[in-house]
Amino acid sequence: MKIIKTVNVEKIYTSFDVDTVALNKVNLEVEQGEFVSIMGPSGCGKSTLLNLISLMDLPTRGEVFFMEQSTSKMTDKKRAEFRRKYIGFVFQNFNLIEELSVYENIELPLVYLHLPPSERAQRVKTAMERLDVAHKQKFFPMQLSGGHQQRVAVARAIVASPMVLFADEPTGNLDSKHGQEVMEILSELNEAGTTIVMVTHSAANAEYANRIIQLFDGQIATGKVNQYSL
Amino acid sequence: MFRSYLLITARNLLKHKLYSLINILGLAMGIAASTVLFLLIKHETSYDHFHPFKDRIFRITELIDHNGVGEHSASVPFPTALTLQKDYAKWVEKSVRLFNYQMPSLSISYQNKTYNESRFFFADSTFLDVFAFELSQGDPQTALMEPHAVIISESIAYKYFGKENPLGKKIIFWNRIPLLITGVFAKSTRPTHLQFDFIASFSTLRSAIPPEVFKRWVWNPCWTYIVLKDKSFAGELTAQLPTFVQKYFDEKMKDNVALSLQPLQDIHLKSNLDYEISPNGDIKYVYIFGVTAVLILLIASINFMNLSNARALLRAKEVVVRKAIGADKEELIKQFLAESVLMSAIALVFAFIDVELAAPYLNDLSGSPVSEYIKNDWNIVKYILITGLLIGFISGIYPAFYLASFDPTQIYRGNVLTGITEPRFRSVLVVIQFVIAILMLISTFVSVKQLNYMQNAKLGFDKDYILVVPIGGSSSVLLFDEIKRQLLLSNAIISVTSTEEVLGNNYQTHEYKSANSKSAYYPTITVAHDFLQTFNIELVAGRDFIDKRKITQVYDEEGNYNNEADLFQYFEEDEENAVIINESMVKHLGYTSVQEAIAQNFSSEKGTEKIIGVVKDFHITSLHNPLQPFVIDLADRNAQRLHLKYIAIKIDKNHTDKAILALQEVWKKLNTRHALDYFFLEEKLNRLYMKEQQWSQISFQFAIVAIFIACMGFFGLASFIVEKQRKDVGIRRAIGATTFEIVFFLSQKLMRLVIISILVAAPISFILMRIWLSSFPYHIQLTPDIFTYSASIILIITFLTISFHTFKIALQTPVEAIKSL
Ligand SMILES: Nc1ncnc2c1ncn2[C@@H]1O[C@H](COP(=O)(O)OP(=O)(O)O)[C@@H](O)[C@H]1O
Ligand SMILES: [Mg+2]
Repeated sequence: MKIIKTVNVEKIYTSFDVDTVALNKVNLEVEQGEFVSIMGPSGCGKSTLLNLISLMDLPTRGEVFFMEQSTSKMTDKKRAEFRRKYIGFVFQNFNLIEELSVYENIELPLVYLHLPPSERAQRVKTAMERLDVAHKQKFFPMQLSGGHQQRVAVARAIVASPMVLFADEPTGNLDSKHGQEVMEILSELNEAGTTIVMVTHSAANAEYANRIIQLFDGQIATGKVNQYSL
Repeated sequence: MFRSYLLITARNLLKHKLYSLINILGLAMGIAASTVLFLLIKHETSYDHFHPFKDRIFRITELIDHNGVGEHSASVPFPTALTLQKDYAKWVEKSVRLFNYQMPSLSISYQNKTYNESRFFFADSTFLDVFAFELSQGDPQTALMEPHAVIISESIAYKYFGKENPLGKKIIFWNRIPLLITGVFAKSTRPTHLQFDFIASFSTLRSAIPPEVFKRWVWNPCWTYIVLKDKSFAGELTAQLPTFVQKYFDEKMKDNVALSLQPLQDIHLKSNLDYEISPNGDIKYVYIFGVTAVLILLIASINFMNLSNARALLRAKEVVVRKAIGADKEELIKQFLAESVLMSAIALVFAFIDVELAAPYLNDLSGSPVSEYIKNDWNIVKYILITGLLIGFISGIYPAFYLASFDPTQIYRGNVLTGITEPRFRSVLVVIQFVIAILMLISTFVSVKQLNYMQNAKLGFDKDYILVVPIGGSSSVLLFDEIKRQLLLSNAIISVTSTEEVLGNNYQTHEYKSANSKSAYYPTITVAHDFLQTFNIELVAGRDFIDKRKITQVYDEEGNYNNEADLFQYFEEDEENAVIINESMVKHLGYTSVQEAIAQNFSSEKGTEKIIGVVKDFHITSLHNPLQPFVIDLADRNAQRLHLKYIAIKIDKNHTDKAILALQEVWKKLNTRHALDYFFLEEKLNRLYMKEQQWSQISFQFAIVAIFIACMGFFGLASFIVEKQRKDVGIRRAIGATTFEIVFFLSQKLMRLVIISILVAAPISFILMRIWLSSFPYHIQLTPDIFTYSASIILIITFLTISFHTFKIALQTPVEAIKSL
């Protein structure tokens, strides 16, 4: 199944009457089970593309298909439901909610899925064990190191067993050791069947993917598989 | 889900303790303040609501009007009640009269103790059928059936008999009429305009008043209530009242009399007649309270909105994360609304505490405490709960939508805050808040000024250093001459006179006939000698009354007046032959000059009085009423003298204690059978402005609350605005701006809102105050100083409020400032 498919997607930001073409006629397909890295210089539209395919934002023109369904006519509510059910997120700056403990942060997506408490407890436990953060469950984000925060963020992203995991520079705020750890985890997840779309700056990290997409000035440069060149 | 809301709310509150406190306390104060007002409103509107036939009970009132002079009396002649009941038996079911000789107090004794009781009434035996007052002892069916029976209140029972059983005890009325206690009223805290401690059987009066008096249609001392068979008959009965008046009232006055029916429940708020049984409230203030309550709630809820909103900025990240994870807008709105309601629930707890703390000190407009009955009403609790939660909910809507609308894609762009602009709507809200606060401040200034004006206005007579001793309704009145003689022996006492009513407080009306008009009822002050001197009233023409016994030198052996310099020889005895009138009366009677009025006939019913003098106008009632024509009549030595109810004593202002001592001694010597009561005229007259006084106090308190709440919100808002400008400050600091320049720069935007508020509030309050003041015939002018003071106070307070934040940032060293860049 094609989890993601974009057809001539364009995104134009208008601010102060100046149009910025962030994406220009992007056509992209991601198959279930793939691990895709998106690379490109700063400001070329990587995050914008990720926003569109993760149903956080709407394209100015063109069409985004998610799980082979057209998303342009979906309501805000419907897209939120899709995010909740099928999508997990990992951010560069972790984006954990500071007022919630590790446990509660990980539990949050399940809360929005309205799962019963017993099931939530079970799933959170599994996710925590998988990312080895169970011993920190009572801590608050501020009390954790960056590496641990990102582990918690990943745990939160996968706790609801999403079909796709989107990661926007997940290692950008981590030192190389912790960065590598996170990449290992993503790789494992992919092997276990989760589709992953990751934005990264690091060539080394991009190598974990089966496919690298190069973005320049809002356009996909080449579709070279597993080859990295700049 | 709810647990998660709860958790995050609690942690959020704790994380920003100061703002949580401000937010919650502001709301709590608003709810508490409006609850207090609600209590007052409830109290004021609950008068006489507990009687089972409350809709069918009407009071009969009497308007006597001769070309604008006369009276509008809350009481009517003796026969009115029973005649109405007899003539209109198809409509009138029952009636009851209350009577107290229209005396300020009546003398009651038990064993060797004597008291002056002011809450004593005689009432028909139907009293307990018409009104639902309950007895804690005695049989309501029979308690008032027999003559010489009396029901007393619990507090009186305690005052007279301590812990002994009062039933069967005998008290003595006026030193000669025995009254048997047949019942005790159960303590009631329900508000009623009928304020009494004693209700004696009306039939007792047969042994005190000659029978023909009960048949006369002139004197109108009976507060008369009727119960209609159905309240819809009120219209038909009212239509019959003119016929009724024509049929029964005295020939001379029936054309000038109109009776009307006044619904029982209108009495407290809508009635302000002569001879009211107790001071009433005023519907005007009920509306003012209502509006104030709403305005305060509005301030509080705006506060809540603004702070929640400002805080929303700190929560932007949480919002976008939640959105990314899959929360839809609806869910976020639910979450933030739940939070608001939760916070308002906490505020409610504080509000309850506030109200509980304030409750014992609550007085209504007449100065009496708000009744326990109202305070214990469950509706109040319901009111607090509902308003609190509703306010939480409503105030939560705007921040909730605002927060939930954050764009989730902002999450990638680092600082979410930078993308968010200050909503203009919020500035509007702040302006509304301050407009209300300024309005209340100005209203306080105006009402305090008006109160001072009324209390200190020149009335045309001296009210300071005048002691008043009630003597009406007792034999003390017969001792007046001797009391006066002995009082004047003290050098602390300057002058002594006697009056029928308290001067400046109220008056009676009596019938006079002038040379050029038919007889009419005029406001009359019946007095004893030395009246003008005691009150320092200015005579503009003619002369004062002369006490013939005192100035024997101008009378010869045969008793003829022979002071040739005094050309007014048309009177022999001033008691019978002379009246003094005021300037307005001169005009009313149609004389072109005061001189012209002198020596004109102005006679009482069977008298021979002429006008001997004209005084400058003075105020014979409160300044709520315009100046009016009136007559000063010297009581004759016999019958009329019994009408005198008060001794008025002008005392030396340096020797007040000595004067009071002299009074006590003289009283003890001459009048052992009666208790001595006295008061200062000034205090009594100041009480005429009780409503204004209470209102100015209430207004003051609520202005403070309003300003305080508004400033709390402003304080919170300032912190966010200033925080957002931190970077600008850093740059300015680095370039070399001084602390004050930076404080100015930071304050500018916020203070601009305050200034706009002042500009908006000024005309609104000007109009509202004009309306309020126009209800007083004598009132202050709205001078600009009222507005400048209010504006300055608000400017200073708000500047200080935000200075905490502005100075904090402005005082950073340039190094700190640059670091924050
Ligand atoms: N909300 C926005 N409004 C205006 N311009 C934006 C917005 N988001 C991104 N851009 C612009 O679109 C371009 C692509 O941005 P982005 O997708 O964040 O790039 P990348 O993630 O590759 O660094 C940039 O020029 C950026 O300035
Ligand atoms: Mg980016």
